[in-house]
Amino acid sequence: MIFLGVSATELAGLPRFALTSGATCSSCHVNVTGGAMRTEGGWFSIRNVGLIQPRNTFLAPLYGAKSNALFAKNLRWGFDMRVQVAKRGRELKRDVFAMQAVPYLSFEVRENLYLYGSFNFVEPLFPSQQRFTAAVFYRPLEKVAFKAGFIQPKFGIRYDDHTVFTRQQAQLRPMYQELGMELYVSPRDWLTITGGVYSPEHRAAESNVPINESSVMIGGGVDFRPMDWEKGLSYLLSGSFLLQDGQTMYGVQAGIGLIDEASFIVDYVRWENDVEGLSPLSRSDILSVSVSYQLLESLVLEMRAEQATGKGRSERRERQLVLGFQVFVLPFVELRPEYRWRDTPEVQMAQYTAQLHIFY
Amino acid sequence: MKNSELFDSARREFIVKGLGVAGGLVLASSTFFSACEFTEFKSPSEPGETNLVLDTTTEQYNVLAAPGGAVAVAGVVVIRLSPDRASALSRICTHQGCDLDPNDNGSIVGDRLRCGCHGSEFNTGNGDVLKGPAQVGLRSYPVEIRGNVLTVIME
Ligand code: FES
Repeated sequence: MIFLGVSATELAGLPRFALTSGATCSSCHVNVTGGAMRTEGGWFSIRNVGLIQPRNTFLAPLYGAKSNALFAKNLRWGFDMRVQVAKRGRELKRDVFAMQAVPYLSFEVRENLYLYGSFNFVEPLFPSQQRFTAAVFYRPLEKVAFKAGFIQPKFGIRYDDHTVFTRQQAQLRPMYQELGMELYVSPRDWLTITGGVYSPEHRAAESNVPINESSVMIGGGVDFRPMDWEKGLSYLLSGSFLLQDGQTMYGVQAGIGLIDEASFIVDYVRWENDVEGLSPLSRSDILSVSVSYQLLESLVLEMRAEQATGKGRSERRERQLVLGFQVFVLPFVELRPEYRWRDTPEVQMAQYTAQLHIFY
Repeated sequence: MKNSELFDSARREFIVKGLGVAGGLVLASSTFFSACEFTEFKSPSEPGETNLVLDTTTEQYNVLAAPGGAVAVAGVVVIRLSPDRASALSRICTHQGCDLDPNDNGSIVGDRLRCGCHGSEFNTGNGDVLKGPAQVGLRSYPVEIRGNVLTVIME
């Protein structure tokens, strides 16, 4: 609970925010690894984060809720809606499109036992995305937690942007889900060990090697999150793997955060196809370096530099630079203007994009 | 009020005003914005490269004599759509760069060119994306048909 008074805990489910807030994902999110569904504490911590405070404006009635509970205290709701303006399509023409519109529900059956689910009203953009989620989260002991149902396999770290190379180039989409279960053990506050088994069904829809759908995908990782409260520093060191029929992925991430100020994250992912010759690329090395600087609790400058290099029968290199702001214009309303430069073997381009993100 | 809160509210006021001014400038300078944006298509066949001349009476290209025939040549997949129409599309899948050679990783089903890597599908006529994960279409080049000869215009 000590974190809830600290600013910027609002998105601690994302490592970048976890680094600048010092919070753990589970202090604000129902899902122990983050995700949009918030606990009551998570909801409270964001309800005042906004450049414009609606209290004394005509918007005040919209912000009258005292909690995110629905009907009863153990039933909570939330939603996540995103609309993007960006160039896309064959001619790379500017387009306005909905990315997702997802209401969530969570039900606290009893202490430390949650059921949660969501549904996306927007047609999925990628084949491995699933429209709904349904999972159970249970923490039988203080240091042991368990998740089962449709869940996103543990691999790498989360970002609030599906174009980050270490996610995009590894086909790890937002709302990518598999049927599976995961176990979390946290012997220390700063150490979490995760292991899981999953069906590879949705991954198979986008994999560049054929995957036997009756095989089992195995994932896991170790996360170190030491804190130095005196110096106001937090650290992240994380390693993970995902083994599937025909492809192996490894990821290593290191980060440092200056509480309430800045974060720096280096993220490296490699995938290797075990089945030679089926894809022109047998291996890809992906690197993403990101920096954030919090001008205000509700205004964050973000920069990212990334490269993906594929090797095999053919070679391929992609690079991307992103510079943008995360502006919480009002509580629960975020605007994200960005300037993006991208270089691929097919095209070199630079564009402005904007995302409107409304969440609760 | 703590010092840090005072500082934060001063910063907030400054930034809210700053954003207002910046917003005005942004609206007023759309020309500046478009100047900083650009899109340069690269292709295995950059403009200026020589046209591809394919004689369908030769063994190499005889599949192009009949509708439905397709062949990968240099950086493009050439597809005979009908007796008087053919298309030429970049053979590199825009998703993750797999080769769309119809005799290898690519396949043509009806009016779709399918990538064997992750299943993206493109319209054989103009390269538009019909199914993801690719989000950008394939670059398409004009093809002229004169008798038995197809010419892909690369310039
Ligand atoms: S490379 Fe073609 S669909 Fe992925």
